Amino acid sequence: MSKNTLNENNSFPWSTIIIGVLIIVASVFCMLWYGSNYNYSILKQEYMALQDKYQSLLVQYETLNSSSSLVQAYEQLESKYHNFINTVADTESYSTGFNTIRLLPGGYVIYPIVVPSGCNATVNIWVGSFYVVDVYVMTLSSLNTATSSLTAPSILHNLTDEWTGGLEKKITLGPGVYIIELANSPPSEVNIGAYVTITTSLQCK
Amino acid sequence: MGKYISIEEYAITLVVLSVLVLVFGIMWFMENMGYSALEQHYAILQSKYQSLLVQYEIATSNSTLLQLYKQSQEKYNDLVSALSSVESYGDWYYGVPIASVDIKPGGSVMYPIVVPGSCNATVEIGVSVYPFNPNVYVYVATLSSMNEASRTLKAPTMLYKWQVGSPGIDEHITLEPGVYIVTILNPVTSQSSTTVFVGITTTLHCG
Repeated sequence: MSKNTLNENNSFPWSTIIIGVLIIVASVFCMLWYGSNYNYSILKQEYMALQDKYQSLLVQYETLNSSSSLVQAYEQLESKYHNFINTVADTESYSTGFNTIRLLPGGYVIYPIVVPSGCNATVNIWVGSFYVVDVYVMTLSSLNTATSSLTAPSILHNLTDEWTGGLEKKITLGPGVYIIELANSPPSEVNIGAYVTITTSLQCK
Repeated sequence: MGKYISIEEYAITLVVLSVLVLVFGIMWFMENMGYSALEQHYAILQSKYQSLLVQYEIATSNSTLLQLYKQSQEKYNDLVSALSSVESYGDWYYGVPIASVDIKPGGSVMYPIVVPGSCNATVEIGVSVYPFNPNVYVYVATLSSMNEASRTLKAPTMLYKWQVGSPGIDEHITLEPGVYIVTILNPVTSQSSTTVFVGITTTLHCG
């Protein structure tokens, strides 16, 4: 037996136990490291997935949040819609103001009222004159049929019949094109001065 | 028979095993620290995500606003289209006016065009006659000019005037806000009734 060898036959095998313990400890640490590494990898995957979800949600939220100006845009659009209705109604409202219009015998004036589909029009007609002025409301097609064939038009509203030293009348019109006509019809032989105010308001869905 | 291992071999084995223990121990420790740190980050991110999710759900509950906005936009565009449509007259077939009206000598037809403020109108006017009648005219005048003429029994001041002739007219004009009358006239000097084919297409452009 060599001097530099360990003989464990006759003594307690400390060296073997120490090596064995070290192997077990190394194995335990190795397994712990492996387990931790495995858990870390799983957690990292979950973290990445959550980060992706978070980023995606953030983008969606910011997109949605930037449309908080949508409230303003919506209000502006609603305002634009109502302004447009009012502008159309204003364009179809007519007034001579404090000046009379002078109708020669046989002379007339017309005021078109255009009512888009989906809307109704309320039209207030006021005519002031010392003489009776014929006031008719006709559809455009009826008027065109009459003027093209030189016949009398079919009258929708003959407001002359309601003349009582002047005329104040409210009518409601559905979608279509109408003509309000003021005429100094025969057999009148005098010039007629008249004040006219036609106020149109549109009610749209 | 006993097993023999040299002291050097034993020492090397011990060192190797110790190094392995140390290395695995350190790796486990580091991995554990990394895991703990990541766990903390994960918890923070999860908390932020939950918070953002709540805010997002609140925001999306307002997405009806987007629908309302779209409805309002559609409503406005529909109204502009409806007005353009009601101010369009006659009919076209492959660019040829086909709606007909018979006009006696001295007779006329008119078509009002209302252009609201903040809008412009482009109007295509197509008119042809049958049989050929050189006397038929189309003119465009403002309502005030028309009324001035009709109440005093004079001719109106015309913005545009076209003799229809043959093969007819197809004109495009632009009108500013106001009320206009497009008139087709078969003058009293004309010898015969004329069938007039009309197509007027109004398109409003509103700001």
